[in-house]
Amino acid sequence: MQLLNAKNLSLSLGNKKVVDELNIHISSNEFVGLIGPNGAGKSSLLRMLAGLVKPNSGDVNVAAQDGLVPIEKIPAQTRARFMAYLAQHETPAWPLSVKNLVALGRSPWNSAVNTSADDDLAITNALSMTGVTALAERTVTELSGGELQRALLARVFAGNPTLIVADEPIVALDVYHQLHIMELLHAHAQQGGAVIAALHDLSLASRFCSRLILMNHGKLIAEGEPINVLTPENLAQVYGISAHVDCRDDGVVIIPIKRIANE
Amino acid sequence: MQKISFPILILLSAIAVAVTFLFSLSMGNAAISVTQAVKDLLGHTESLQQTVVWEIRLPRVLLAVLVGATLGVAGAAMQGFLRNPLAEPGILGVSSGAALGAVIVLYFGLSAAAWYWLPFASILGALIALILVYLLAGFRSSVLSLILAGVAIQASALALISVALNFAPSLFAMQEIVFWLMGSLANRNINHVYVAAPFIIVGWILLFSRYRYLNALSLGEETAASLGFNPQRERNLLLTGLALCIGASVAVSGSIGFVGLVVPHLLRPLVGYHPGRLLIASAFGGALLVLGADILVRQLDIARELKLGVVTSLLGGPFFLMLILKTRSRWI
Repeated sequence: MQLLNAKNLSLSLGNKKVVDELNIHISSNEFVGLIGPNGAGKSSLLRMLAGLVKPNSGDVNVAAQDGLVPIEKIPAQTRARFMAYLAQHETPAWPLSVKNLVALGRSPWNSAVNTSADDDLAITNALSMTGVTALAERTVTELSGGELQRALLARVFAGNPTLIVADEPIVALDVYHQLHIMELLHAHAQQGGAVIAALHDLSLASRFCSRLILMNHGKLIAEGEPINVLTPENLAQVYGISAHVDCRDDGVVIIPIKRIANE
Repeated sequence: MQKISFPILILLSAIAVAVTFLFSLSMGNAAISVTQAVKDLLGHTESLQQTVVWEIRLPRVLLAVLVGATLGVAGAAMQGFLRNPLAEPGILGVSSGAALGAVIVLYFGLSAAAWYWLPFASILGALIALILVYLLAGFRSSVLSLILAGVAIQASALALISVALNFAPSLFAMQEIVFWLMGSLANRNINHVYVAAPFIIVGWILLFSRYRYLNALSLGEETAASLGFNPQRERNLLLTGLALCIGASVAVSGSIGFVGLVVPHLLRPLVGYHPGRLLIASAFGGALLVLGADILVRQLDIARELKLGVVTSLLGGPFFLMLILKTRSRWI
């Protein structure tokens, strides 16, 4: 089932066109990896898909009860129940406890001050799913980068979203924690949800994503299965590197060799 | 981290406020029984007790609670909104706008004509300051440009207050302005309560109703928006509430400093750094602090009354310095 469909999306910041006539669609069970160099427009695209920024032109349609509906026609709370957004470098302003942080993910669901039994259950599930139950009473400022990212992902899961939009969820994590976060996102897609995530680690992207979208200068360059997107030609064109690309059953191994173009 | 549960904290604070309220009511130069005053009021008997307690002391004590709670809530709301523990209610120029409104009335001697000019001018000043901040920063502005606009408005309002002092028509007018700016609850009557209370209560409702948004804002404006809040709408309600209750508080008390900064800061660890709960706790904390400071002011038996705002600043300044030194490692 198609969960999101965006057509001809364009966004300018100042005089610069950061997203240029881009089309994108996401269906359930998909884990879409959004890749491209710094400044390619990945974050801006994700913000538009999450309904946080209005595109200058084009429209974002998301799945509602009666088919695909323009995102601005959906009440913010309904949208928040359907999709969650994990910002890049999200840091809590206050030293909240992990449990209180995760509870914030229930915001789209609780209308009053009190939390319901549903909220408690969702929070408990989210904590255990991401393996942070033991940290529930710790303050977020005491956590390591990997623990904090898992707690933030628990916040996302607590809202029971169908679609997760994540902006560089594994940046600055060690390999173990990168795998952990990718596994959790992958599992979410396997269970009928969908994920779109901006990623910089191309090998991990190829290992977990069902589809990759390669962007450069706000435009879509290539789209499809990881092995068809991560070709030496595409890497040379977009990243300006020559790389050793080795396609294996469990992903694509990429070894960057050298820069071929000076920026 | 969180040693006592939130309901117990609120219960204890409420009891403390109630006890201090009654103590403040029974305290004064004339030895007067509050129970007698209550009896006389219920029995519709005119008596000295009744007059002193209901017409002189009660307005003052009620205002201490209203103003103190407002400063606490507004401080907590601003710190939550700006995600900064050093924010205070006046940061967006609202308090200075209110003060300027009052100073204009005092300058032209309008407060002698009718008492209600001053509070109304003050509330109007706060609202005008907020509108100017919006116009300067733009309605879809970032928080940073709001702060910058607030600082600009605050500086302009303070400059205009200096102009008024500079050209004060008489020494008496100048003294009146200066004393008013210092902040006090002396010589207030029940009319002040009637004028301020509606604005203050509407302001509180607006601020308290943003409970969930302030929580969500812990993770930043963007994430809060993704959690189903409309940042523009939330901000408008929050800042309107702020202008109403701060404007009305300044209108009846002048500028009482540091309460809005210190109270939320002090209570934050006790509520587990929960921005929504902090609103409620800070209401009680602010009321308690201003009630206590006012008792202190009235206790001091000196020829010229020490102004309430001076006391809170005297207490607040060093206290805040201590907090900064204690928690410095976290920020540096």
